[in-house]
Amino acid sequence: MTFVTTDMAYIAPLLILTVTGMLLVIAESFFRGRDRAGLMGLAVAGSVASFVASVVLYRQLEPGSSKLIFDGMLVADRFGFALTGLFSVITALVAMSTPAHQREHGWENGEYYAILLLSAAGMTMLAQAAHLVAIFIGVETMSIGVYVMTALRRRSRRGNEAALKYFLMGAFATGFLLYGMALVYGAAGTAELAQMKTKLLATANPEIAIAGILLMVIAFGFKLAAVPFHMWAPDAYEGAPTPVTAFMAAGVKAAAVAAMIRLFGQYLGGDVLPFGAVGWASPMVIIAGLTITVGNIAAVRQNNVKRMLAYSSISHGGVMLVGLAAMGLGSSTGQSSLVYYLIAYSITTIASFAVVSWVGSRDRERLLVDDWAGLGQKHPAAALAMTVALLSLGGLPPTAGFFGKFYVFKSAMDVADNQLIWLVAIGVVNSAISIYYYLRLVTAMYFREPTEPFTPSRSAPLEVVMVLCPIIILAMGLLPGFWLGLGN
Amino acid sequence: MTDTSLQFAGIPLVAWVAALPLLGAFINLLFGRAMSRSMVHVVAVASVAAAFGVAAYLVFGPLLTQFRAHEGEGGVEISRTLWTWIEVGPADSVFKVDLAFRLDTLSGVMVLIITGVGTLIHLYSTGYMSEEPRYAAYFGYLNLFTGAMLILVLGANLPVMFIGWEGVGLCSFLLIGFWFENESYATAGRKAFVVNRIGDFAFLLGMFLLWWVTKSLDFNDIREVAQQGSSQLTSDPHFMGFDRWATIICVLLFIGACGKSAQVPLYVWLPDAMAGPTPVSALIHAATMVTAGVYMVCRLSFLFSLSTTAMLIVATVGTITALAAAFMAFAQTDLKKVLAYSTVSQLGFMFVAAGTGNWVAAIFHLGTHAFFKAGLFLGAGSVMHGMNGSGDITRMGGLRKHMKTTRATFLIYCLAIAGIFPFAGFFSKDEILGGAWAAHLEGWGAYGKVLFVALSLAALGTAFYMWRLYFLVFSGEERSEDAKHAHESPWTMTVPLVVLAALTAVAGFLAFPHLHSLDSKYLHLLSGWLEPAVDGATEAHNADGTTYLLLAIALGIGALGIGIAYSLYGRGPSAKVAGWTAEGEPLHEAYEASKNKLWVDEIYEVIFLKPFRFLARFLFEFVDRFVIDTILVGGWAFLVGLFSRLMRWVQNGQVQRYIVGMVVGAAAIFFFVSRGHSPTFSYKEVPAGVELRAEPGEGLAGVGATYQWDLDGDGQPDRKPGAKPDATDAAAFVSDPVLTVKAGDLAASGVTLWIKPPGGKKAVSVTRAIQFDSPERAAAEGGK
Amino acid sequence: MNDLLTHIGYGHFLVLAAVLFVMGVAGVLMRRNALIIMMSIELMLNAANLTVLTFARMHGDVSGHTFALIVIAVAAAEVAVGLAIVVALFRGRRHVDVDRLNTLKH
Repeated sequence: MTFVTTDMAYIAPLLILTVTGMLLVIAESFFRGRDRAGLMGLAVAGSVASFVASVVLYRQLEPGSSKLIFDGMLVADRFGFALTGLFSVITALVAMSTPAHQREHGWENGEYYAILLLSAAGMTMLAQAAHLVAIFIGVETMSIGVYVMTALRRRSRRGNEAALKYFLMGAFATGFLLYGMALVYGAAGTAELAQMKTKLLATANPEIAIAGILLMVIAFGFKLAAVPFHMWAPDAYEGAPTPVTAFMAAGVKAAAVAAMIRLFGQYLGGDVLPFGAVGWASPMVIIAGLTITVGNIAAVRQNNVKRMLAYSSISHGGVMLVGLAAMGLGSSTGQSSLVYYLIAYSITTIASFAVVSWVGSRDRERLLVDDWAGLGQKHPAAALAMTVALLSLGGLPPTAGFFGKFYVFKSAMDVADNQLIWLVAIGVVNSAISIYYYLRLVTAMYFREPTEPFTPSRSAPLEVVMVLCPIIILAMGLLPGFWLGLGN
Repeated sequence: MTDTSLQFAGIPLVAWVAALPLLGAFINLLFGRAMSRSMVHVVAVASVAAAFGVAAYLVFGPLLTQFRAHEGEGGVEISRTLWTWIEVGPADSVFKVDLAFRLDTLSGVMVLIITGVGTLIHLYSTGYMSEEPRYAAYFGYLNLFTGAMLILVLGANLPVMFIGWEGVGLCSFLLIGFWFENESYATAGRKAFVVNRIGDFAFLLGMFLLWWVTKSLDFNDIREVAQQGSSQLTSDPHFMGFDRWATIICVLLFIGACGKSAQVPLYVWLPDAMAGPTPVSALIHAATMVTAGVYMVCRLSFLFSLSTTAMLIVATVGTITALAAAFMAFAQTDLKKVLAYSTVSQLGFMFVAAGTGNWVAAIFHLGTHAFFKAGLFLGAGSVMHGMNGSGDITRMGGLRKHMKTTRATFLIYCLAIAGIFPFAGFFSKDEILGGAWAAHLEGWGAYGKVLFVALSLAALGTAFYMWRLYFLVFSGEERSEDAKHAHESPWTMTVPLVVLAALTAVAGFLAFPHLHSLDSKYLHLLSGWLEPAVDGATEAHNADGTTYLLLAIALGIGALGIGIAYSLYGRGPSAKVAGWTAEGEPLHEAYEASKNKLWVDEIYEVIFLKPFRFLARFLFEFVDRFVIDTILVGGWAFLVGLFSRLMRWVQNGQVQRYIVGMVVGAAAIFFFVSRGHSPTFSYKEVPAGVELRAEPGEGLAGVGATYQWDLDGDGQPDRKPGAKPDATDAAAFVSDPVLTVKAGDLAASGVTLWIKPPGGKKAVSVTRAIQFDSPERAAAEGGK
Repeated sequence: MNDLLTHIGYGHFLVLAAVLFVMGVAGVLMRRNALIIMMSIELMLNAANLTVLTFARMHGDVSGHTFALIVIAVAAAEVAVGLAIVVALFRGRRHVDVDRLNTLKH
């Protein structure tokens, strides 16, 4: 085993996030009292630095080149740095939306920012992972942090309940993941992803390999909240503090998809699949169809905005699985469209949850659709931000969400023999259904009289998020070419 | 396109035209609540006025210079691509859409109308809406509408046009339902939205088909393909002719136009749309948005010209609409409802012009109609403002004494719409009538003459109902307290009225002297101007005695209509009319029927409806009640309910149930993967004979399977050569997954393969007959 | 003695691991006490660990052994967080019965 110091440069985003996270643990003892703006500032600074590092590294690499670092443990390529950049932005935006919610709902924990950054470090590891061990460490670093963040509202019964449910199910899924990895490792004789496909094609124990791959599909399906492994998501999303929910819905999901792109799309997918399409692509197709549909129909009947967004995010996870299946079945545009979709979905989700936490306050959390009546008259800017986010979630042009779905479905159509045409049809029909519940909220905001005055949780950083995200959403819708190129 | 001329701040001026109102909308919608009312309307009016200024500079500066220099078709345009918007697909059939704007002579006319009339209406709104609490929102929406409408006309391709198309629809919905506290107003907004969706769906379909056929959605590209298409593609017997595609595409696009431009049968939303504030009716539902359909048809004139069928449909629908709407206007007693039906009718006129290939007349009438109909609505708004908001014409009368400016301008508009010389409506309507008379498209026969007669009737009706309106509002004595105390509106409202009246008075002279017998290309200003943009714009009109006769007829019809209206309503609802229509008098039934719009319904009832009643009843009972209500709606509700109960059961909050769900899901996936996937075997010819390859299917069933072959057709698995005939152990049988055998060794009855999945499951057998493609192999086989 | 050890092959270890894993899953499904559920999950992780070690030994691959060590460390961290959550929950409710945690549902 050799240790190459230049390899350290390639994990700069990971290092920056980790070091800042540790600094935050120390800094926490210096920022006592109710004013924690300094901690937030440090966390944002760290995420921005990590973002800048990702951009620099991204530009340094040639398109299409990839370099194994740390003895094949991690990989440095443009795809990875595009995603580390995305995770850094997600972290910064979530950090900025937090202080208002902490102030209003009384959970001012200093450790929060440290855990947030360390959890984000796990995500960046997933984006660069090229080894089963790296994937395992990345998943666990990310998840353990999120378990803690979910539980941070210690006095809230719902918060505790959500945390325990999330933890138990997450740990259970970890068992599946690990057992799956063990079996694949056993069948392939290596844990390095780069050699895995060749080794698996020649394995003497294909049954073990298939079982292992399927267990990993199930475990990642859990992290992604794919049906039927989704049931933790609505409860955990509802019970967690809203900024944490945003982090779970945007970050954790995107990181899980990043790892799946690496594992299934790049290293196990392509023209020759080990054990044919049934090996993992066909189950994924079925899961994708179920996820889109069940998430959507369940969202239709939700009156709680957070829960509605939770089910909607489940449905969006299904679209991501469509992209993954397309990639696995050899669509050349699968990866770039998925990266576009991940960016679009993450930013949109953060925007919507930012408005949710802005609208509520100490006295009224305002989570029901009826509570939003008349927001358009009283606070047009906030209503506009929410409308842009909802239109993007619903996939209406000219927002990022439209092109995200468009590109993913297009890449699914590119698969040979129209294998995924039914999946695309299901996806399109569901997009149409989804517009119903998104517009229900828009209608409430604009076409109903407010029942009582709004008392928003005003906070400058949160409002910056509410302005910035819709701008990115529209920019992605108006200039999709640039963003689409990021994933190549 | 990297042309950097005609830019401001790095953005092309063409884009600024649309961007300025959008900027105004942005400011007013976001910060309007914090701004004073005067700031709000200064921003709103200034942004549209600035757009008008930029547009006027572009049209009368660079575009006019290009126009003077041009020869032949095309080329007169200011095109700017902002960026590539969508680019997907393989290189040979890439779907590429640029966010591009194109100002040519056609869109130039539209832009000037939209920004010019738009500025006036914004100005008017500052007076009309002065007591509105949601002032900033109103101006924000109005600016947003203007911006969207400009995108619609300036778009250089169909998708960009569609952005504007949807944008104006959205703004229309927001503004119709602006006073959403009133439930019926909000309903009207939704009705407009839903009816427009039907049209939009057809529009989208047409757009997709068009892309599929032409591989481009840019207007210039489509034009090129269309011009080639008419000569080349039709000659290919295996290819469905481009003209036939053109028919399907044009009809779909026209359905879209019907929705937006309120044509039969999709016109129903427009009368209800009068629920919105009156300036909105003037801008959106008279001058601009509803003409978008006409504009789109003219924009694609080269495509529509290819299809006689589509043109026929356009002209016929236009005629029916013009007549039907004119009839419905007779009976209305609400000021704005009369004008709404009048708008529907006039839009029908424009479509007839388009459908008879008379594109210039369509745009000409679009322009003049924008002036006088916007004026009429603004005048109506002024009257209602003076009448404390009431629009009931039976309670008006005598307003000439109280509202001098409004009355004088209204008189000009009424003269124009009735087609009286020298006002704008005379010229444009006459051109449409003349065009219909002279329509000379293939296979039409005398259809043009029929259109002419129908349109003349519609024109007569128009003159009548408009002047009935005029007399009831302004002549005679006041018929209510409100009318007695009516007052003139403030200057912000009267100035736009005067400007529009002046435009109405002079706009017609664009077409003067209107006769092509005088030998000059530019005498009909508009037809020369539109020639580079519109197909066949300079086609000659009738230039003989017929023209003068038609002119006289048109004038006569107008005068006749006014005359009838005067004799009946000249001094208000006279005793004479009341006498004729009293109970038992001869005209009673006719009048009542006309007033209630039921007379036509009665005729339909007798002639058409009775025989269909049973069918309709059946359809209602069976299709509506049973199929739709019970099966579809009820079934859907049942499914959703079932799903809901299922979800409640699953998502009951207990973590262990969730985990059970996970485990069951995992088991299902393992089951799916482990079951066989249609096992079979393949064969192919190789030099050494035939290669047989077992394909046990994918997944777990496929790996670790064992095989046995029966090649000689005796129904038993073959043993290896040299194996004892009674040996039963696995090693004795032929068990290779891939075999190469001589063709002659294969049984004619077919080869059987047994596949035994791992784990002691039952073997599956597959039998296939081997057939050969190559003749020598088939001969060898046959010789066996 | 030696005989017995040499007759135990890799297969036996793998089957043992699989049995342990299934026992872990069954424990998670059937027990109501959050602490016992966590112990069952630990059983699942250890079963997986045993599998990894068996295969590492089989392939003569030292990286598999480090994998197992890392898993042990990560599992310890996870359990620490889990216990903290259970404690916080117990403070509020005075029980750790997962059947009674159903405030959040549908």
